[in-house]
Amino acid sequence: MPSHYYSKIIWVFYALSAVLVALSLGGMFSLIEIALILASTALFYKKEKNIITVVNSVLLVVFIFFAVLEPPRSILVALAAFSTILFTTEASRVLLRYEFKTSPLLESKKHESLKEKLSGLLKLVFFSYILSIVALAAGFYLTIIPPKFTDATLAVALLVSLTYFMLPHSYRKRQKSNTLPERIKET
Amino acid sequence: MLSTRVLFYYILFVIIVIASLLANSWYTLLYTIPVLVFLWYSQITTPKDLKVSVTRKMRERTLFAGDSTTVRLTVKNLDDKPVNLEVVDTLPLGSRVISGSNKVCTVLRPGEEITVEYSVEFPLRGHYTIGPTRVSTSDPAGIAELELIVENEDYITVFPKFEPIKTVYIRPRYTGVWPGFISTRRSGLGSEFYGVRDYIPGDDLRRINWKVSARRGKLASNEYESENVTDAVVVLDTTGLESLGEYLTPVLEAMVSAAASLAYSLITQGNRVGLLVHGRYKLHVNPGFGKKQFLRILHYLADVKPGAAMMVDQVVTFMLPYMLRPQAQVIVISPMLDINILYALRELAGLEYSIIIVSPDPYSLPAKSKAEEIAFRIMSLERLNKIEKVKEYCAVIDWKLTASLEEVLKRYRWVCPHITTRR
Repeated sequence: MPSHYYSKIIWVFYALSAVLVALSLGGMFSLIEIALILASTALFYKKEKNIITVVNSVLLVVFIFFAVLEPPRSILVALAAFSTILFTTEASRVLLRYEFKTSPLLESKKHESLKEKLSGLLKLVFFSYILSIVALAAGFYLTIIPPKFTDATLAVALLVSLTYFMLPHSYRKRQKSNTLPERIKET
Repeated sequence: MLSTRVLFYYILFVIIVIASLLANSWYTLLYTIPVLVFLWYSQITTPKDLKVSVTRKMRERTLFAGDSTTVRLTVKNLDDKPVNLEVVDTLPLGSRVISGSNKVCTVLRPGEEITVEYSVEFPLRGHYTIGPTRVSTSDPAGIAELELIVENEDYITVFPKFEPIKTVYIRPRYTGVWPGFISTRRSGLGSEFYGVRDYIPGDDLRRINWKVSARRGKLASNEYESENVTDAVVVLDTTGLESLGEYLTPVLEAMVSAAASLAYSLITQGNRVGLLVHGRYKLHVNPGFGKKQFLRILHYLADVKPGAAMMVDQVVTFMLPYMLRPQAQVIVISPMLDINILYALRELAGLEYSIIIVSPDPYSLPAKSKAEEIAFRIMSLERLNKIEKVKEYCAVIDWKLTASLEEVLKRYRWVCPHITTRR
């Protein structure tokens, strides 16, 4: 079981996502989704860093799939469920990455770093949920004048391509040692 | 470079878009908003440059197998804004952190520095590299990452552990010209009484034997047995060890440790000692005296890997005559698993080397199953057959690995005339 103080937040979010999924999806679909959430919870408990990422990814994809197959009871609750699952996915991964023991001084530093990451994630999810609600309101307004399907397809294709070019890149840089003079001094 | 997480989010985004088009439901598109927010936020917040300095200090750079060293890593933020960092000091395979951690996650304010201290243990001999240090920072979701690899590698040599042999001495027939501790059965400088001869002008007065002089009616001087050192080469043969599977490591480590022990014993007795290793790589150290030579031998022994780059008889018979004059002492440490070692020993005996074989018995280790026990018995017979063949021209010490080398050498001093417990 993850020993960190902040793991309690993850447990709360796991419970919240299960409740929101049960409220938004119907019957069999919600049962499957809750089973996946339980599997993720078990993996989090066992600190299985690698498998939990796979299970959480499946959880997100399956949620979308079910939401498309059967329209959710309430789109607002469904969006909240999706955001909560997204937060749980990322937060559990981040927290498991911080599962290592170190000295008491560095432990407080680690605590501070984790706090910053989790609060950042929470803000991000909350902001995206607010944005979704705004978009939902805008969407309702636009449906009064429905656009042509081909126009919509083109717009979406453009959006997908543009997003690809705007994807964030990971960088890896090499830096020569700055400890060399000291090492020479030592020897 | 696009990371796996970025690709996952992008694929999720595409799946949602396609699903919404297929289902013709515009509100499904709303699920793309959190995904896009995550992607764009990481694009905005991940820095393109990381200004940090990393300094590593280590207590020891040479250790013996099983020892540990303390590493102090100092990380300083040189930037003018705070960064959330993950710092990992790369450790080599085979090492183990015993206290502290080689990883740290921290927020560093401008100009702030932290020191990470950890102890790392090296259970096996070898040459190891600590580093590079990986410093990374990412957005809260860890979607995009900037990783800085600080090339600050430090090198550690882990010598094999060895048992100093203090009560057993190796005294070959041949000795060199330098004074030492091995009796040569010739008169000269030494401490052991050899005989009495007529006085020669120039003899030290303290050497005159007054009783004999009185009896003979003319001056007589005592003669002493000269004590010199010998030249020796320790040959380590690892051929055939690969066939031992999981038993390879204990046998190889015992052999390397025995080579270090014998080299130590010979060097502390003042002899010139060299090393020839026949393993995955052919290594040799020409004979030499002293502590530095012993350290050189330990350095080479730290690198021994099992295997056979060439035939053992080719290596030994080609290299040894260049390293050692005939009649000198050769100590071969070999499990006697390969037939070629027999040809090598016959050739060496032909060159009049004084040969001792220390043969660790891999089949003396406890077998893990009944089938293994039977296989061990059969293989052991084959090995004993080879030992019987070489016994004609050299002394063989059959070393059961359950006993210490010093004990075995003491036991064999009755069989092997070169080994003694007297100084």
